Amino acid sequence: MLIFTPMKKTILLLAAGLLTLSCVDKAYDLGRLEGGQIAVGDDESEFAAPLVTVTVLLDDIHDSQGSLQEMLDEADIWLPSELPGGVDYVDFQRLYADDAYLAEVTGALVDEMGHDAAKVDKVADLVWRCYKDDFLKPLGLEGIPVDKAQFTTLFVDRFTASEALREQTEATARKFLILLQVSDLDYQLGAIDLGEALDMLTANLDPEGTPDPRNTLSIKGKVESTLPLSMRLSPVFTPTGLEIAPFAIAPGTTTELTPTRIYTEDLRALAEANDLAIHVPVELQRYYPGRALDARPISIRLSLHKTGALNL
Amino acid sequence: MKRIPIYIIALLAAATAAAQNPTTYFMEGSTLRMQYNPAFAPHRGYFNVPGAGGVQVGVNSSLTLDNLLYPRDGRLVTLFDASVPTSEALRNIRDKNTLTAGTRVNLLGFGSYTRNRKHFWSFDLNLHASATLNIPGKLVEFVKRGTDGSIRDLGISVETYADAGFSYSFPLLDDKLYIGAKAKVLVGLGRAKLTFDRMDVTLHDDRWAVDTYATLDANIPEAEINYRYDEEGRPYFELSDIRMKGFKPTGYGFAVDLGATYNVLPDLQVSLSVTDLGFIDWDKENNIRGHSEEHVEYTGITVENDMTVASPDFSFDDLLRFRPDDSQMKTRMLQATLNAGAEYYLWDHRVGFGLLYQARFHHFTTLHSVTGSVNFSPVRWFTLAASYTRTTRCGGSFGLALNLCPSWINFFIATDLATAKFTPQYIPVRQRTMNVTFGLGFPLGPKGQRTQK
Repeated sequence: MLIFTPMKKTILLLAAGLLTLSCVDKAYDLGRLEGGQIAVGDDESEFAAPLVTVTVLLDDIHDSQGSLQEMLDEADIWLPSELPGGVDYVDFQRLYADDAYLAEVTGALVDEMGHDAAKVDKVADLVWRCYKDDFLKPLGLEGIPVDKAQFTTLFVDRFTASEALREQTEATARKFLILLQVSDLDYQLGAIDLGEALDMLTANLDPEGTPDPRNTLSIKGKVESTLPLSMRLSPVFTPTGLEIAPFAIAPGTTTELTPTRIYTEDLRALAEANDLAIHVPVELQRYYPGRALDARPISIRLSLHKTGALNL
Repeated sequence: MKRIPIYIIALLAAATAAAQNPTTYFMEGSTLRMQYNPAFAPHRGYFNVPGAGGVQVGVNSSLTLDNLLYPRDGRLVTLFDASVPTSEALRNIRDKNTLTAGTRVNLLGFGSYTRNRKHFWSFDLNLHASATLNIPGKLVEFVKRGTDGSIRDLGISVETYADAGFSYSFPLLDDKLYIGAKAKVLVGLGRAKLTFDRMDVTLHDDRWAVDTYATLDANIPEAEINYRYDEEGRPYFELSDIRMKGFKPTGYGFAVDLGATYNVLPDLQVSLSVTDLGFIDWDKENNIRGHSEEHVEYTGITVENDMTVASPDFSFDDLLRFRPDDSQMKTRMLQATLNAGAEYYLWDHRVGFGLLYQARFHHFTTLHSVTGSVNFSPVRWFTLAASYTRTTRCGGSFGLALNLCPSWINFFIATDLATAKFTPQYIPVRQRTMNVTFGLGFPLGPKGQRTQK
């Protein structure tokens, strides 16, 4: 007992000391530990994920009559070398809607042909190939067999003197230019398999109408073009109907697309469609004659942009 | 609401341990002290209570619990939770974050002085388990910032083995120098090391990609793998495909503890030792090796030349799909420890001041620590020690130890949790180290004549 007494006192003293010095923090009760929303990044983060990259080939762009190459080759002939207003482009929208502008363009063509033999030769050759029947009457060749050499020689010789020939030339140029259009572009995409990224991108999106949203999803993109055309494109995904905000592209430039905000259901619809396609209506804006054509003139890269954290 | 099962927490808390409580180094006369230095000896012979003669559990981490868990609106969440701001979560994260932990349980132990009462021998049988977890700071940074990540050496290593050791110490130089050595036969019970040597994460607008290279090297008793086969007929396995058919040792080895003490002055003793200097040959038969080299990439849909190329499924399922490698017999060094100490006594050996340097060599890192100690021993069978330990990357901790060895019992208890703030589960909240040691035994045989009192 003599031995035990001081030991007991010491242990009690030690225990009391430990209790005094240490404490339990219930805020750290491991029984209440939650996996919670494990997130990659935070409210300030922005993530971009690839969606679709379309390389538009020159042969993909055409109208019902022929390829873009053929269209522009002919346009180069029907357009005067010096364009109205001293600019280096022709404005398609004005050609379609502004008769005075159209008359100015075709008038400049006829004027140029009046003093530029080479231009007349080119038009004569084009007319022989594509519009011969329309010019037989002004050339006085109705019902008369004629070969190319005879036709073009007569066209060149009579162009300056024949008012009817000039009028027919101007009318043919006008008809061609106002019908200058290209068909819409269509690409089959199949299925977008976002895998586990789908849930990561959509897990915490703020609903539509949320003021000052932090967790948003948008489709953004970049379009690079080397075409000598400026165009307005309005892509739409089918069959989901998801529309990308229309955008314009200009020659030799990279265009950043205006973000198109989308929501969970939009992305799920894209990811779950097995026959996804993208339809791109094309509206020609301007043509810059005299520039070379690239075989792969347009690259459209669409990506998903997520603001805020990615929830795992 | 996802709740993390409490047993996982308990497993993490218990399985991650490497246990040497530095405060106990200065408990003169305790039977535990010999594990630091075989030149030490208790006051007299002993017989430990089987299974309770010396139980040590310890954790050393470069992070505290409140660096990893955050109270939020009545909940407790991890640092990866969206509610924890990036700056707050990364504040305490370093390039290399390690958690080393271990436990040592004395299953059987006894020892005695020889007739001259200066030579001491002992035998003990111990069970060891240790684990080292390495969390690269880049991993946490990637998750919290959401930027590209180039993560290296994410890994965990665990090892269990038993040792049976015989120790002998004796004096030289007119009792000023004591030399001790312990020879240990080791029996490997199991080990595993899983390392992601490389994990590169790319999150660009044209490409999301994860590149990984992981290796698994394990010795699991009576292991059997249920292989799966891919489309090309090549075998692979996942961790869940490994089964244990039975139990038998998977390796054998040998180790020594070497130590010396020297009384520079009558009241000044210095000590030096290297413990666990040895190896285990892990056998080939139960060795499982595999590697996983995976590239997961999502690039969206590419349309060109009327060809539509869809990106493969962006799934992480394959990242732990291991291709089997040839089994090997592996010789692995133990996680050795270097101890260098000095003690100075005052007041007729009743008060002592101690200084201890330790270097512990773990798989992913080496931990260095310095401990300063004040020891109070009013009578020979009673020692109370208080210490402060500073460990590289693990911060500091205050420790207390008590050794009682009257003529009928040996009892010691030590902890460095005395001043800690705890979770209700008694895990320290703000302390990077956690060591708890206790032992119970009975004195046996004649008293030694080493101590100066």
